[in-house]
Amino acid sequence: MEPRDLEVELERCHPDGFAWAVRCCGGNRSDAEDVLHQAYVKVLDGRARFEGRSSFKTWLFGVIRFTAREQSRAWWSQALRLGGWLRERSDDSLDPAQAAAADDTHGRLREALSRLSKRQAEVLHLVFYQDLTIQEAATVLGMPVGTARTHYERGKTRLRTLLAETVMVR
Amino acid sequence: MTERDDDIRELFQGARRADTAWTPSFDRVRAGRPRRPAPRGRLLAAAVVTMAAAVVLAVVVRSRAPQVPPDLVPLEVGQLRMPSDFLLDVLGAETLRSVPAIGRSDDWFPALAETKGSQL
Repeated sequence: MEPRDLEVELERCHPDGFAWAVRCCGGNRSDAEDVLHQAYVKVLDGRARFEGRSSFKTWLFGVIRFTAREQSRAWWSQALRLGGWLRERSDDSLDPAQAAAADDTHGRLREALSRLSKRQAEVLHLVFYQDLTIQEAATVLGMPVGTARTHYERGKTRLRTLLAETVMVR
Repeated sequence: MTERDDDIRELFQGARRADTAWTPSFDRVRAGRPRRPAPRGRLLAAAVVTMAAAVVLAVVVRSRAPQVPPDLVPLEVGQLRMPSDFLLDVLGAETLRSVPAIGRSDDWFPALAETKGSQL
């Protein structure tokens, strides 16, 4: 694929890619932006090469996930960021008006997803948010389809329970 | 995915629509965020972490250093005294520790030397 075509494809997948990066970074938008930038650089430099074995979006999601894992392993750089952590949190969060609007509609979902296992939350995000099939989700996560299907089924059941509990509490 | 999953699907799609408004532009992400100089708090935190690591390392190294056993036993030959050495503490023991000179009979027979000329 030519560099120009790659860039067009990246731009087309950008909103979905960012949402996936946020999920891979545990909800931190600032880290997600860094991870996505690193992933784009890898793709455009040719360090990550698309060979057409899956859809471009599926492949890109795999690159993003791998890059996020690399970043999270850089524990020393994370330790150095302790000082700026609190300050950056205020930058990363939505402003109060946005947060209030988003809270009611997504707060419950976000809270429930945070209580699922990481793999369950990832599979549900890929299937329901990103409209991937379970097969594609399995490819992104590098796991057998059967395993992905198990995470999907158990995740749905648990998510429904958690959402119902939230409603009852309110 | 089945029709029974429409409730979950609707929740996720609502989140997706809302998230679109807060997605940074492609050009911004492509260019990368400008790196801010490290703030003072970050440097301070790095210094504290480094010092703490150095202290822990020093404690670990010191605790693992081989312990030198105390000198309980005198290792010089002259000071060494075995439990059976009391058997040597007899009258005239000093002759046992001296080397006789050859050719001088009075060293060997001091008692006889005193009566020299009477018998020999």
